[in-house]
Amino acid sequence: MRLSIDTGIKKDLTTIQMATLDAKLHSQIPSLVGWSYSPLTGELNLNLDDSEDTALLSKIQDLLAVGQLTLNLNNLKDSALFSKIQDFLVKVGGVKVLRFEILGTTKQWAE
Amino acid sequence: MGRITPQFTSNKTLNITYQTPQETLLATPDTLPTSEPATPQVSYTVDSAWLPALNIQSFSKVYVAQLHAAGKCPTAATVSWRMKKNGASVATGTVSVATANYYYNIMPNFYDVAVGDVLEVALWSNQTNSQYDYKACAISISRVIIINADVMLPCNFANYDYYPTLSLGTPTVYTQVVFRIYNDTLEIQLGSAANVGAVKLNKSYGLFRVYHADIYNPNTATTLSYQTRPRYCKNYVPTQIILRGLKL
Repeated sequence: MRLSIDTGIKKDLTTIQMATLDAKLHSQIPSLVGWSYSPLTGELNLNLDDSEDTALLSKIQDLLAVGQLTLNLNNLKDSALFSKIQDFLVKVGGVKVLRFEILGTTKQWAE
Repeated sequence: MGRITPQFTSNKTLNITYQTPQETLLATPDTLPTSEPATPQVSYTVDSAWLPALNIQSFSKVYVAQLHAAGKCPTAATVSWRMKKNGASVATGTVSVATANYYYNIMPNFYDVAVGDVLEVALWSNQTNSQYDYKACAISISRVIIINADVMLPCNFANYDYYPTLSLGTPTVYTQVVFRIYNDTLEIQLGSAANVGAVKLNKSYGLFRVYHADIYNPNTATTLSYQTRPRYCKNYVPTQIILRGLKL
């Protein structure tokens, strides 16, 4: 699962700044596999692990099976992972979610 | 003000041929440094022979490059990377390899590349035994406009493919994501060949946008930790579009 957020900052990172950001992100999100940040756009992309992709995909498939979901990711707000992401965003504060993607299904918020 | 009599162009068949990706698997892996190297391990200078070939001259288009950098971590490690275009930093990040002997897979996407551009990825690790042994470069095309008209009628996405297909190492596909077409501002995901009838041309997005490197993650990277390499993302790409322009 991948999440893109707008940091509002467009600045290249030194290796020391990268290490600091890496430590902070991992302390907030244990399932974080990787992240990338572009000084051109200020976007921070978080790559979370495959197992949670699978868990979320199973949930989507279950909801689809009973006709409760038409791939509207708003319906996933009750999932534990989505709550975790929301918690993270509250903690880091002042960021705007741009995109939220599960295996190619994307929810994009207006900029 | 529209014309009293709309003007049609002739019917055109656009064929897009995608090139075999550039791939290298080192016989002997390199050991990653523990600080950012001055000379990036992965470096490609975009060659005209690597670009998708069109049988019709286009009005406009954008080329996007998907690079790959991968290697094994004999012990758990955090691999850092920086992608550069013509020497300037485009994006940075890390990938954590939590399981010994797993591979990191980094897929930097460069949006809007041209012949002669130098695309690079520098790698370093927080461990002394992390390796690097695989790199690749594949170039796709996006936002194609063949006829600068108001409406395409018909607009038949007659054939498609998934691109790239990597062959060295132990390739596994992580995602295959469909491209998007546009009817004015309406975005449509196309999952199979389809004649979509008439579409109002979106002057920014053209006939279609590929997913990776344009819609998603332009000028940044997707990273994965996996038991093999390369583990990668494919774009669903049109290979034939039959269309005719209509000026209103």
